[in-house]
Amino acid sequence: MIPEEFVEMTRAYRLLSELDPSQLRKLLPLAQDKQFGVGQTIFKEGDKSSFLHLIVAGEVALEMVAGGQNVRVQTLHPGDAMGWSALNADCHTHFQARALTPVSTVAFPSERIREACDRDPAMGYALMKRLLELVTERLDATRMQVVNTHREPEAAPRR
Amino acid sequence: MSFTMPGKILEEYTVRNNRLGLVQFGDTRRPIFLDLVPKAHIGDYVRVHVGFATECVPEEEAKRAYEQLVKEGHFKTAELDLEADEALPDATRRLKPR
Repeated sequence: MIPEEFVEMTRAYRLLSELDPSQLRKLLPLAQDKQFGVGQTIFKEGDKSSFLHLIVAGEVALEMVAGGQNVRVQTLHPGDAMGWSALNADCHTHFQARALTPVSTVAFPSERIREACDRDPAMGYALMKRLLELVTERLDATRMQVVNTHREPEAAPRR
Repeated sequence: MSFTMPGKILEEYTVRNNRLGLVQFGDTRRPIFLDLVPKAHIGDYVRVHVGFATECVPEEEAKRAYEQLVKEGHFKTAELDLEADEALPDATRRLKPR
């Protein structure tokens, strides 16, 4: 019987744990541990993207500011990536990220990860494929959220 | 999760395509990926960076590292061969391997 904490670990690190060992050896030296306290802003909307984060523990609210208020767009969990605009040079974040609980991330400095992907396109392609899977999942989740929000309430049964 | 000190592998598991181990760092135990250290098994010492064991560490070197940490006051004992869970604080105690 495999303890649940080990299964959770593979879910939380799936962006990295599915890479080949040779690719992982090139990426890991770039990675940093980051910790954020409850309520702490991880990045603000419009900031220059400085890190690609992989959430390994905790929950993060992705928010946009509308009418002077923070509107939550999505809640991110372990295994989700955020700040992926860091992979584009001169790109800025589209949302604000705020820690809802104590959060731990594995963070890759944007410039260094771009350089590593440029130096080794095969590794860069493998990373982009994994990242695209995560982004697609997030889009699907957002789509379901929108559908549920706008679904017509079911007609009450006649008596 | 990164640790400056080497950790000792206490348990090993395979989850899908990954090999993981329960690794002890002083009075803390954490699940760690072992995919990059295929020769490391239970009882061996490894160095860890952001959740992945990246290299094996000879036992003598690991013990010297712990003795240094004891000298600096980070631990009470350099004894790493903790067969009994009672040797660990409550917060880090864990069920025996299943």
